[in-house]
Amino acid sequence: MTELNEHMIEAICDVLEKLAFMFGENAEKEELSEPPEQAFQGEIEFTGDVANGNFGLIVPESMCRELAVNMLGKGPGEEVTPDDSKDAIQETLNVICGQLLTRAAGDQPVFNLSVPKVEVISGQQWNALAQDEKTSALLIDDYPVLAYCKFERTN
Amino acid sequence: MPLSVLLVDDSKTVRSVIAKALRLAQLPVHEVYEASNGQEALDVLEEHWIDIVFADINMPVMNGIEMVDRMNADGLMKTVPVVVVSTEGSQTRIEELRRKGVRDYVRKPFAPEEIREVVDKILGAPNHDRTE
Repeated sequence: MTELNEHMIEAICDVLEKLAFMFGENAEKEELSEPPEQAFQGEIEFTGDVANGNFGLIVPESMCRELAVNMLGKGPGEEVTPDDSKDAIQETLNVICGQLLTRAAGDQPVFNLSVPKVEVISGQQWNALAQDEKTSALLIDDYPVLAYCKFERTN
Repeated sequence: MPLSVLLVDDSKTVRSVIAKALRLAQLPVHEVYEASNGQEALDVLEEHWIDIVFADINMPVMNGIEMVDRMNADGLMKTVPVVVVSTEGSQTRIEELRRKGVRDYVRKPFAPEEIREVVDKILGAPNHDRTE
């Protein structure tokens, strides 16, 4: 695993634990269960003096709902809307990217982060992303998760 | 002393997370106002007494920096402490925020204790009793 991937996995696990009480670990792609019927693919781009790139996270729709429930502090049986799920994954992307950039570049460089884009993808699209070598696999509270990061130094 | 708090962030989720942290920190929060951008926050500040503002930087319509600038230009609003709650990890940018008059900075993700420490530091622990 590359150093950047290690930073990414650490940032994802650390943020999800603190933000939503969800616990994760690095996984082999073969360990992931069947692809979810529906998933959210979120991506955030960053630009800065030392590097440009992006960070992406692909999570099952059911995990996104649980993320929103935990972040919003909903009680048992309380529902969240699709917009709540989208807002929760956008904020999660934002926080993870901030943490990842500090791990990768230190605490001096300034980066500008884009508004995270989120789209719904099918199980077929999930499979294609899982086979792509740019993605890494994680298990978050037993949910299969894919993630990727591009960090291109500018100097 | 019961506190009136203003939460400024374009994400409803973030506003909920901060409100939850305020409760878990056992601060005597009497009223929580919410705004989704700097302009809405200024409108709330015109209408209500606010003890402390927790604000993001990147927001549509009016960002957090412009909001602080506008507050600094107002005799009464400039006395209201602003704490930035953000993903920002660059010390360079955090120093810029402090020079603008931002009183403190909390980085996401945060624990309720961090929110309590900031409130204690800015408003002074004796001024507000924690709820038990």
